[in-house]
Amino acid sequence: MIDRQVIITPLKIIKAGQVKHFQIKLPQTAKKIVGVELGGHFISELITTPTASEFTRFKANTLIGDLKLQSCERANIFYAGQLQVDNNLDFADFTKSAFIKIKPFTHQSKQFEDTISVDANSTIIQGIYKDAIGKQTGTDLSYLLKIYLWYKQ
Amino acid sequence: MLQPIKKRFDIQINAANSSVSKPFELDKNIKLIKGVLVTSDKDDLLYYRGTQKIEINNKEYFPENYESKLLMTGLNVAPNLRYYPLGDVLIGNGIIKLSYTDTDDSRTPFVPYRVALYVDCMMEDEL
Repeated sequence: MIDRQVIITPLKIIKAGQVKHFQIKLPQTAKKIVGVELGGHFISELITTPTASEFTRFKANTLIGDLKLQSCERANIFYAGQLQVDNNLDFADFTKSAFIKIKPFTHQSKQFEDTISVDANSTIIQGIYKDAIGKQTGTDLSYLLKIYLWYKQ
Repeated sequence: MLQPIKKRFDIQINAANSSVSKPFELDKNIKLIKGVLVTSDKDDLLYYRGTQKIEINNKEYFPENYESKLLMTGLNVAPNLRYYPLGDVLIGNGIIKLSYTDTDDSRTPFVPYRVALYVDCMMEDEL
Protein backbone atom coordinates (compact mmCIF):
# COMPACT_ATOMS: atom_id res chain seq x y z
CA MET A 1 0.00 0.00 0.00
CA ILE A 2 1.45 3.36 -1.01
CA ASP A 3 0.40 5.98 1.48
CA ARG A 4 2.34 8.92 0.05
CA GLN A 5 1.72 10.41 -3.36
CA VAL A 6 2.87 13.56 -5.10
CA ILE A 7 1.10 16.04 -7.37
CA ILE A 8 3.37 17.92 -9.75
CA THR A 9 2.25 21.34 -10.95
CA PRO A 10 4.41 22.92 -13.66
CA LEU A 11 4.29 26.71 -14.15
CA LYS A 12 5.97 28.44 -17.05
CA ILE A 13 7.35 31.89 -16.27
CA ILE A 14 8.23 34.05 -19.26
CA LYS A 15 8.20 37.66 -18.09
CA ALA A 16 10.20 39.67 -15.59
CA GLY A 17 8.28 40.14 -12.36
CA GLN A 18 5.47 37.87 -13.54
CA VAL A 19 2.86 36.99 -10.94
CA LYS A 20 1.05 33.74 -11.49
CA HIS A 21 -2.09 32.56 -9.69
CA PHE A 22 -2.86 28.88 -9.92
CA GLN A 23 -4.86 26.10 -8.29
CA ILE A 24 -3.87 22.58 -7.35
CA LYS A 25 -6.72 20.10 -7.20
CA LEU A 26 -6.36 17.50 -4.49
CA PRO A 27 -7.77 14.02 -5.15
CA GLN A 28 -10.64 12.82 -2.96
CA THR A 29 -8.43 10.13 -1.48
CA ALA A 30 -6.03 12.72 -0.01
CA LYS A 31 -6.20 12.88 3.79
CA LYS A 32 -3.31 15.12 4.67
CA ILE A 33 -0.75 17.32 2.91
CA VAL A 34 2.67 16.31 4.21
CA GLY A 35 5.24 18.17 2.16
CA VAL A 36 6.13 20.74 -0.46
CA GLU A 37 9.16 20.69 -2.72
CA LEU A 38 10.27 23.11 -5.43
CA GLY A 39 12.25 22.54 -8.58
CA GLY A 40 12.51 23.63 -12.17
CA HIS A 41 14.76 24.35 -15.08
CA PHE A 42 15.74 27.32 -17.19
CA ILE A 43 14.53 27.56 -20.76
CA SER A 44 16.41 30.76 -21.56
CA GLU A 45 20.02 31.23 -20.57
CA LEU A 46 20.61 32.04 -16.90
CA ILE A 47 22.89 34.99 -16.36
CA THR A 48 25.51 33.62 -14.01
CA THR A 49 26.34 35.73 -11.04
CA PRO A 50 30.03 36.57 -10.59
CA THR A 51 31.60 34.35 -7.98
CA ALA A 52 34.07 35.62 -5.44
CA SER A 53 37.62 34.39 -5.81
CA GLU A 54 38.01 33.73 -2.08
CA PHE A 55 36.15 30.55 -1.41
CA THR A 56 35.74 31.35 2.28
CA ARG A 57 33.58 34.37 1.48
CA PHE A 58 29.89 33.72 1.86
CA LYS A 59 27.94 34.74 -1.24
CA ALA A 60 24.29 35.75 -1.48
CA ASN A 61 22.13 33.11 -3.10
CA THR A 62 20.27 34.00 -6.29
CA LEU A 63 16.57 34.38 -5.62
CA ILE A 64 14.43 33.06 -8.47
CA GLY A 65 10.98 33.70 -7.02
CA ASP A 66 8.54 33.45 -4.11
CA LEU A 67 5.76 30.96 -3.70
CA LYS A 68 2.78 30.88 -1.33
CA LEU A 69 0.19 28.15 -0.96
CA GLN A 70 -3.18 28.59 0.69
CA SER A 71 -5.75 26.11 1.86
CA CYS A 72 -9.43 27.07 1.90
CA GLU A 73 -9.74 25.50 5.36
CA ARG A 74 -8.45 26.66 8.73
CA ALA A 75 -4.78 26.40 7.81
CA ASN A 76 -5.10 29.35 5.39
CA ILE A 77 -1.60 30.20 4.03
CA PHE A 78 0.35 27.11 5.03
CA TYR A 79 3.49 27.42 2.91
CA ALA A 80 5.71 30.31 1.92
CA GLY A 81 8.92 29.38 0.19
CA GLN A 82 11.60 30.74 -2.07
CA LEU A 83 13.08 29.15 -5.14
CA GLN A 84 16.76 29.99 -5.22
CA VAL A 85 20.11 28.98 -6.68
CA ASP A 86 22.65 27.92 -4.07
CA ASN A 87 25.83 29.94 -4.67
CA ASN A 88 27.59 28.57 -1.59
CA LEU A 89 27.94 24.94 -2.46
CA ASP A 90 31.72 25.34 -2.56
CA PHE A 91 31.89 27.41 0.62
CA ALA A 92 35.11 26.58 2.47
CA ASP A 93 35.51 23.35 0.57
CA PHE A 94 39.23 22.71 0.34
CA THR A 95 38.84 20.07 -2.35
CA LYS A 96 37.99 22.82 -4.84
CA SER A 97 40.76 23.49 -7.35
CA ALA A 98 41.32 24.57 -10.94
CA PHE A 99 40.62 20.99 -11.98
CA ILE A 100 37.84 20.06 -9.58
CA LYS A 101 34.83 22.31 -9.94
CA ILE A 102 32.11 21.96 -7.32
CA LYS A 103 28.72 21.75 -8.97
CA PRO A 104 25.28 20.85 -7.65
CA PHE A 105 25.26 17.60 -9.61
CA THR A 106 28.48 16.45 -7.94
CA HIS A 107 28.13 17.79 -4.41
CA GLN A 108 24.46 18.29 -3.64
CA SER A 109 23.02 16.79 -0.49
CA LYS A 110 19.99 14.59 -0.44
CA GLN A 111 16.86 16.34 -1.62
CA PHE A 112 13.80 16.12 0.58
CA GLU A 113 10.56 18.04 0.76
CA ASP A 114 9.75 20.68 3.37
CA THR A 115 7.62 18.84 5.89
CA ILE A 116 4.22 20.30 6.64
CA SER A 117 1.07 18.90 8.14
CA VAL A 118 -2.21 20.29 6.83
CA ASP A 119 -5.49 18.43 6.46
CA ALA A 120 -6.59 17.88 2.88
CA ASN A 121 -10.28 18.69 3.40
CA SER A 122 -9.87 21.65 1.09
CA THR A 123 -10.19 20.10 -2.36
CA ILE A 124 -8.43 23.03 -4.00
CA ILE A 125 -5.14 24.60 -2.98
CA GLN A 126 -4.65 28.17 -4.12
CA GLY A 127 -1.17 29.30 -5.06
CA ILE A 128 0.64 32.45 -6.03
CA TYR A 129 4.12 32.66 -7.51
CA LYS A 130 6.03 35.90 -7.99
CA ASP A 131 9.11 36.06 -10.20
CA ALA A 132 12.13 37.81 -8.70
CA ILE A 133 15.11 36.99 -10.94
CA GLY A 134 13.64 38.66 -14.01
CA LYS A 135 13.01 41.77 -11.97
CA GLN A 136 16.57 41.80 -10.59
CA THR A 137 18.24 41.28 -13.95
CA GLY A 138 15.77 43.38 -15.93
CA THR A 139 15.35 40.66 -18.55
CA ASP A 140 12.52 38.34 -19.46
CA LEU A 141 13.98 35.03 -18.35
CA SER A 142 11.84 32.02 -19.12
CA TYR A 143 11.86 28.98 -16.91
CA LEU A 144 9.67 26.11 -15.89
CA LEU A 145 8.89 25.96 -12.18
CA LYS A 146 7.65 22.72 -10.69
CA ILE A 147 5.75 22.47 -7.42
CA TYR A 148 5.66 19.05 -5.77
CA LEU A 149 2.83 18.64 -3.29
CA TRP A 150 3.14 15.46 -1.24
CA TYR A 151 0.03 14.08 0.41
CA LYS A 152 -1.01 11.05 2.42
CA GLN A 153 -4.03 8.99 1.54
CA MET B 1 16.36 -14.21 6.72
CA LEU B 2 16.57 -11.20 4.43
CA GLN B 3 19.82 -9.67 3.34
CA PRO B 4 20.45 -6.34 1.59
CA ILE B 5 21.36 -6.31 -2.07
CA LYS B 6 21.71 -3.52 -4.64
CA LYS B 7 20.50 -3.80 -8.23
CA ARG B 8 21.30 -1.58 -11.19
CA PHE B 9 19.27 -1.05 -14.36
CA ASP B 10 20.43 1.10 -17.30
CA ILE B 11 18.78 2.91 -20.14
CA GLN B 12 20.50 4.78 -22.96
CA ILE B 13 19.36 8.21 -24.15
CA ASN B 14 20.39 8.80 -27.75
CA ALA B 15 18.25 11.76 -28.82
CA ALA B 16 17.47 15.12 -27.28
CA ASN B 17 13.90 15.68 -26.05
CA SER B 18 13.13 11.99 -26.26
CA SER B 19 11.41 9.61 -23.88
CA VAL B 20 12.61 6.11 -23.12
CA SER B 21 10.53 3.64 -21.19
CA LYS B 22 11.73 0.24 -20.10
CA PRO B 23 10.48 -2.41 -17.67
CA PHE B 24 13.00 -4.33 -15.56
CA GLU B 25 12.36 -7.56 -13.75
CA LEU B 26 13.75 -8.28 -10.31
CA ASP B 27 14.99 -11.70 -9.27
CA LYS B 28 12.38 -13.99 -7.74
CA ASN B 29 14.17 -14.17 -4.40
CA ILE B 30 13.94 -10.40 -3.88
CA LYS B 31 11.16 -9.64 -1.44
CA LEU B 32 11.33 -5.94 -0.57
CA ILE B 33 12.48 -2.65 -2.04
CA LYS B 34 13.84 -0.14 0.46
CA GLY B 35 14.95 2.73 -1.77
CA VAL B 36 15.95 4.03 -5.19
CA LEU B 37 18.63 6.27 -6.64
CA VAL B 38 19.39 7.60 -10.13
CA THR B 39 22.80 8.40 -11.56
CA SER B 40 24.35 8.82 -14.98
CA ASP B 41 27.64 8.76 -16.83
CA LYS B 42 26.91 12.47 -17.54
CA ASP B 43 25.70 13.77 -14.20
CA ASP B 44 25.13 17.30 -15.44
CA LEU B 45 22.77 16.19 -18.20
CA LEU B 46 20.77 14.04 -15.82
CA TYR B 47 20.64 16.84 -13.26
CA TYR B 48 19.50 19.60 -15.58
CA ARG B 49 17.59 17.74 -18.30
CA GLY B 50 16.06 14.66 -16.72
CA THR B 51 12.62 13.79 -15.42
CA GLN B 52 11.26 10.32 -14.82
CA LYS B 53 8.37 8.18 -13.74
CA ILE B 54 9.03 5.11 -11.61
CA GLU B 55 6.48 2.34 -11.17
CA ILE B 56 6.90 -0.73 -9.02
CA ASN B 57 4.41 -3.56 -9.41
CA ASN B 58 2.24 -1.26 -11.59
CA LYS B 59 2.01 1.32 -8.80
CA GLU B 60 3.33 4.78 -9.42
CA TYR B 61 5.89 5.90 -6.83
CA PHE B 62 7.26 8.91 -8.70
CA PRO B 63 4.92 10.41 -11.30
CA GLU B 64 5.78 11.72 -14.73
CA ASN B 65 7.73 15.00 -14.66
CA TYR B 66 9.42 14.14 -11.34
CA GLU B 67 12.85 15.72 -11.73
CA SER B 68 15.87 13.44 -11.65
CA LYS B 69 17.81 15.95 -9.54
CA LEU B 70 15.50 15.15 -6.64
CA LEU B 71 16.63 11.52 -6.69
CA MET B 72 20.35 12.25 -7.12
CA THR B 73 22.92 12.69 -4.38
CA GLY B 74 26.38 14.17 -4.50
CA LEU B 75 29.70 13.28 -2.94
CA ASN B 76 28.70 15.10 0.24
CA VAL B 77 26.29 12.30 1.16
CA ALA B 78 27.68 9.18 2.77
CA PRO B 79 27.49 6.18 0.39
CA ASN B 80 25.24 4.16 2.71
CA LEU B 81 22.73 7.04 2.89
CA ARG B 82 22.38 7.84 -0.80
CA TYR B 83 19.18 5.97 -1.57
CA TYR B 84 15.82 7.75 -1.51
CA PRO B 85 13.88 5.75 1.11
CA LEU B 86 10.54 4.26 0.04
CA GLY B 87 9.82 2.31 3.20
CA ASP B 88 9.36 -1.43 2.78
CA VAL B 89 7.76 -1.94 -0.60
CA LEU B 90 6.59 -5.44 -1.44
CA ILE B 91 7.69 -6.20 -4.97
CA GLY B 92 4.50 -7.93 -6.16
CA ASN B 93 5.10 -8.96 -9.77
CA GLY B 94 8.72 -7.81 -9.44
CA ILE B 95 8.59 -5.38 -12.36
CA ILE B 96 10.07 -1.92 -12.10
CA LYS B 97 9.20 0.40 -14.95
CA LEU B 98 11.38 3.42 -15.60
CA SER B 99 10.05 6.06 -18.01
CA TYR B 100 12.69 8.69 -18.56
CA THR B 101 12.24 11.99 -20.44
CA ASP B 102 15.00 14.28 -21.64
CA THR B 103 14.13 18.00 -21.93
CA ASP B 104 16.28 20.80 -23.33
CA ASP B 105 17.95 23.05 -20.79
CA SER B 106 20.05 26.07 -21.68
CA ARG B 107 22.89 25.02 -19.35
CA THR B 108 23.67 21.64 -20.89
CA PRO B 109 23.88 20.83 -24.61
CA PHE B 110 22.80 17.31 -25.48
CA VAL B 111 25.19 14.41 -25.97
CA PRO B 112 24.13 10.75 -25.71
CA TYR B 113 24.18 9.54 -22.12
CA ARG B 114 23.26 6.63 -19.91
CA VAL B 115 20.82 6.74 -17.02
CA ALA B 116 21.21 4.18 -14.24
CA LEU B 117 18.52 3.30 -11.74
CA TYR B 118 19.87 1.74 -8.56
CA VAL B 119 17.49 -0.18 -6.35
CA ASP B 120 18.14 -1.04 -2.72
CA CYS B 121 16.49 -4.44 -2.17
CA MET B 122 16.15 -7.13 0.47
CA MET B 123 16.79 -10.62 -0.82
CA GLU B 124 15.77 -13.90 0.73
CA ASP B 125 18.68 -16.20 1.49
CA GLU B 126 19.16 -19.20 -0.76
CA LEU B 127 17.60 -22.27 0.81
